[in-house]
Amino acid sequence: MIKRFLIYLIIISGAIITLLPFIWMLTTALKTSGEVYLMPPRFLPADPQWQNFLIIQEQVPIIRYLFNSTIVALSVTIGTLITSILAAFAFTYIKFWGRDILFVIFLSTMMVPGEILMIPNFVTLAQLNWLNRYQALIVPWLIGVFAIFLLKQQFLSIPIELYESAKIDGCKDFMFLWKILVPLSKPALVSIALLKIIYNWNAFLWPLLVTNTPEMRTLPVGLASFMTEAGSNYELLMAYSTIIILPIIIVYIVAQKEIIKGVSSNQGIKG
Amino acid sequence: MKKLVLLSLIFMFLLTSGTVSADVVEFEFWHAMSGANGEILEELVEQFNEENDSIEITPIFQGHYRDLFEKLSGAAQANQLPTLTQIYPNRLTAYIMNDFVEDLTPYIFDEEIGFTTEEWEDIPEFFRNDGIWNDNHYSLPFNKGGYLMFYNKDMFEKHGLEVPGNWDELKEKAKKLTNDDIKGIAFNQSVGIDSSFWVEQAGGELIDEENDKIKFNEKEGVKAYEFLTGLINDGYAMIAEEDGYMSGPFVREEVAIGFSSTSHLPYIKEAAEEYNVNWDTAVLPKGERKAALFSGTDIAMYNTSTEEQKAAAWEFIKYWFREDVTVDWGTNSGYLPLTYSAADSPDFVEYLEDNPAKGNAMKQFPYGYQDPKVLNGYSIHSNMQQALEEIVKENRDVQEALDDARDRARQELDEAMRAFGQ
Repeated sequence: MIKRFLIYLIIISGAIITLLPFIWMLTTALKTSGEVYLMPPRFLPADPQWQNFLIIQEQVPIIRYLFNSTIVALSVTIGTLITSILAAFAFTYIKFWGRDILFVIFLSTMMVPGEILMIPNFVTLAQLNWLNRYQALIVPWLIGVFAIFLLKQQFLSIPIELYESAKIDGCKDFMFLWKILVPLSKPALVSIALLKIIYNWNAFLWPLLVTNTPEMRTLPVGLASFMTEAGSNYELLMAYSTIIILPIIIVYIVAQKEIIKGVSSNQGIKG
Repeated sequence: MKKLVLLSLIFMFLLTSGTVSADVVEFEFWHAMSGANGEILEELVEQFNEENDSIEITPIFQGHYRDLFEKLSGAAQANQLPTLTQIYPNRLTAYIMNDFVEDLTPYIFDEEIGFTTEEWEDIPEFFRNDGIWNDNHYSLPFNKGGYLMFYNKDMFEKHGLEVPGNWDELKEKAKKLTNDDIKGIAFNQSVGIDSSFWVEQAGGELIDEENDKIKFNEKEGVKAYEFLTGLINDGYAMIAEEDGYMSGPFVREEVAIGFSSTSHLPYIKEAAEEYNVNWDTAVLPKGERKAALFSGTDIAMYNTSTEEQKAAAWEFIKYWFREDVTVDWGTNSGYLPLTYSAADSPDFVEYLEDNPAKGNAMKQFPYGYQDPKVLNGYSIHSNMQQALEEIVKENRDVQEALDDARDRARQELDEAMRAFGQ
């Protein structure tokens, strides 16, 4: 009994500590600009300023940003899933010359920091005349090396005999992929999708670099509007952050079960 | 999925199918102004567009200075530079060395389209001179703020104190104002970066740009650093933590004096009103001499544009110094009007009645200066900041810390030059 109580205590305090920054963000979003400066800090706002959420709407075209963020995050996620499923399949089941070397080269690109690629990518897109278009926000992110790696490992955990017997039964590669591999790899695919959604939803520098008009920008770019070199409007910044984070939390809640499966279980079929 | 693709295609089509009229010159102006500053900037550009039927400037917010500069550097390599941009002189140097920047000298002194002598001299000289490389003007001042002393009037009255006019008085008053709950002075966290005015006031300078000699570790610099760190070590002054600005402790009345730029005014004003703090500003106290730092970016034109775009962009640069425009900018943004006549204009004088702070900043025009514009000039500031932190936190010897900072800065400046093959 005592042991159980202790476990709960640790879990609950852990949860509170993890949640605290989010709660802090929510309460700060409702404060006045002066309340933000209070010391010692006041946890709950004395007079909640709901209009902060209206003010941010006046300052940035939030609906348009939300629309763009959704389009970009969805397209990138769906695109990455398609490319990684095909690539992982090729790397696992199809024997072709130089396959393993190619895979190592693929993996080694993960070591290159994204910042270094930023400018060359920008130059390429500029030459393609893609700047300020959805292509620029979507296409460079359609290949995820980590996703391919993860899926390849997942495919490898599925016994090769399954593939061979499917072949004997007259199943074509593509059918085997869609009918058998993909359903079996659902948790891994959900994890990849979530990582992609979160990464793209939060990306700031790239959308800022490749877009020039508010019509083409995404939610995180709007964050910059509430910070200046002389200081920030913290209450507005936090109200805006709340709006950015909400959709991600919803996605997480919806996909929660699959994520837990994806990270914790021994999926696949034992051989 | 199909719907999604269709939708994105429709949007792409809509966005790329704008109509362009042949006789209107269009170009982009990249800036880093957000909030109230961004609003008034966009309004003034809009007004310019309305006044000039044949010119259409698109102002584009590119994030903060660092984001803007990053984007500029990408754009330069992709041959996508805008016609006009906001930029710090020390950042512009690299573009000038790469021959990307339009020399404004022929425009400025052109009899027809240039400034008259009177208009030209109406812009404070130290603002104009900051845009000179090899005797040519490549940039002109755009958004400028000046450093000021903020003080709590009630606390000064309570102790029967006058506003300090020099370093000795500052120290003496900070000492009197300090007690268990209150510190005399709060500096912004970036005090080491903004500390050039203390060095200048001590009679020194950060770098002799002509002879390429870093000087902040000479005796004047040491004197300034001893004064600053002495105030902190003696307990009369503190460095702001939280968000790095003195505004928090100042509006909570934990300190009596703070040093910050006018660009910080809107935040201090708003928070002080809510806390009922009775405050005012004053010119910076003088050391061996008077010196006041003005910071902020310049406006520059890239030569990658067409002749028509350049001519139109010049019209906008000139417009920026028109009295009503610079007064509008000075009263609605966190920055200052850029000409002497604007400072004396009825509109601005009226504005100062309610907002005296900016007037104090402009009183410092006669002895104003700006930070060096050498390639990678920021390394001077970042190393000075590091030195200050070492002295305060690790109790390092002032001279030693500054000497080390000089060596590091030297190395970084040389590296930047080497990267340019020089």
